[in-house]
Amino acid sequence: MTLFEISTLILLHFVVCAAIVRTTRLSKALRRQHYIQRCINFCDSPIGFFGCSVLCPTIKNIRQIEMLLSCDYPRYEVIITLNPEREKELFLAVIKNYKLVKVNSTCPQEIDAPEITSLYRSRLRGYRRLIVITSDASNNYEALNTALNIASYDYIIPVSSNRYFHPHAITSLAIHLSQTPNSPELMVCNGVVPCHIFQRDALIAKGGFSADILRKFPTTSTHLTHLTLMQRIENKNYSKQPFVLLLLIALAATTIFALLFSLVFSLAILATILFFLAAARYILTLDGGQNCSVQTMLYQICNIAMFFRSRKFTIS
Amino acid sequence: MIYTLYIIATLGVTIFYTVITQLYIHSQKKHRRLRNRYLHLASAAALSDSDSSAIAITATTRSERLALIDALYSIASHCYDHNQPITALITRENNLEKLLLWELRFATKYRRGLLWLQLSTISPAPHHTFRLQQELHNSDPHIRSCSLIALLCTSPEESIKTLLELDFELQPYDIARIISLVKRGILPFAFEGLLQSGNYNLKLLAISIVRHFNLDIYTKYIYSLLSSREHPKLVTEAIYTLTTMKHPLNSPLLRRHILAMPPTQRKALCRHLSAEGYSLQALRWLLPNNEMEYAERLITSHKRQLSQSNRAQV
Repeated sequence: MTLFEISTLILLHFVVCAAIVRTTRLSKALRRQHYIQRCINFCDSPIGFFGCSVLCPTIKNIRQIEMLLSCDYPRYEVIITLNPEREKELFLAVIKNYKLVKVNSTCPQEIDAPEITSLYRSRLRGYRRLIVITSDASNNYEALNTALNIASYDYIIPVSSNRYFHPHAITSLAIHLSQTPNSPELMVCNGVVPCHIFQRDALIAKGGFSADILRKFPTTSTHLTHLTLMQRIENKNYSKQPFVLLLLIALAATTIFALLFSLVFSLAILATILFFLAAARYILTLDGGQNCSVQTMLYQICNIAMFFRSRKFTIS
Repeated sequence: MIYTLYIIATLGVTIFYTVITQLYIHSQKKHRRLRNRYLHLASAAALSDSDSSAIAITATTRSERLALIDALYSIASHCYDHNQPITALITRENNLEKLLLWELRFATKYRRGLLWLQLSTISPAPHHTFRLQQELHNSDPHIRSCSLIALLCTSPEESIKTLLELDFELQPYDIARIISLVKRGILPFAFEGLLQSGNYNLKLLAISIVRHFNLDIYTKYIYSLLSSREHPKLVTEAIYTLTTMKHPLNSPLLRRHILAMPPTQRKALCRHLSAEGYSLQALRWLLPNNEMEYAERLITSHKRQLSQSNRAQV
């Protein structure tokens, strides 16, 4: 056995053990969420004064806005930042689709951020919780900070461009926070699709969104959970093609390894790949089983394998 | 040798995950199909109000009976006035109570909470009270919350006594669920008595009920909470309740309490007040001068316009 093979074997052991731990945690959290959602039947009013503002600095299409607005919790708002110069077509489509009208926007500047050039609200009653703002923000952090200035509620959820909420996501979050003893300043949801929830005033005190915002929150005021609030926008229909494709890739990789090293070594690699596929499929099935495209599977495999997470806050 | 062991172990875990995934998919599909079937049958029986259609609903296997319980639970928790005798008849005919009690023996944590809720919905019999009271001392807040709701459903006439004897503080989620029960007509409360009681949980619940149902006649009791030396949480609840009900803010007591709040909490209240549509003049009296600029910009911004436009449309 060469030194390379021994070190690879140790590494494989470590990765597989970490993946088993993470899969177990995720499956536990998802089962718990299923039971809580079945209990939600009993509750049709807001949970105390809990409210949250959902900030989305980039959207790709109108369908995402529709999905962000689909939660049935009464106290939340969705703030979308658009740049009409760069995304002219999308901006016009949003204005037309939601019958948006321009309103006065002299809002307080609590943190340093580019000013809002215009603020739009919908004339349709069903879209009262939608706020669209335009600004000259040069990056996503600036766009988030601009939106943060007009956020009304006490909790802030930044959302990337290809995410949407589970139907009971905000109610689940409200229940979870109401059962957490000390209201945390930062909640890290390491669920199937990870996300962060910030307490508004704490976030403003730390200077708003930036790449290193997560490092500014001490671990004592951070609450870690495996709650899954969001899903990724992918193909809705489950298909077997991703598995076939990934298996073919795995077989090709094994053959190459077998030619380069030994057969047993390549079989170990193949077993590891199969293990990750099965674990990812298990988690995706528990989460609803709808998004099984290649991209989602690969994303989920990375999610399961990632034992040490970066403390860098990224939003796309 | 080590490689072989590694391969066997990893493949073993892979097979385990694959099998449980397939079993999960299969059981979910089956449960959904059966549940939908029973939902149709039970809804039809409840609407027709005849015993014969209820007796016709039969569930023999465990999975069928669990699906029937789930269907009955869904119907009961979505209806304001569901047909209790028909549900009781279906429960008796299919021996559902016995199955739930059997399942409860082995269930832990969240499943246990759900099973208690289902049991209290389909068979709100007083003989479960003792076991439910024991569950109230559980360390898990979710089980505690579920068993409290189940206990209130099984013995609604003793609800105030149950709430008085609680050894934990009610959380916003518990209150939201109790309000849902009040809405569905399961819990008949005398709100005045609750507001005047000396118990923290009862007062908190009463304030929430007053706010939720907009019971204007009880606001004098809410004002009296401000005058007495109450728990700070109750005072905050009272302030939010008065402002949600759009009451005038000219009480000196209210001002004193608001000025005593931490600045961040006052800022949150300011956002709430602007969303509720209060004028700048009203806030000028309540807030310190250095915070007026923030309030002014909030009120003259879109928030004020939104609350006014909302009200105009209602």
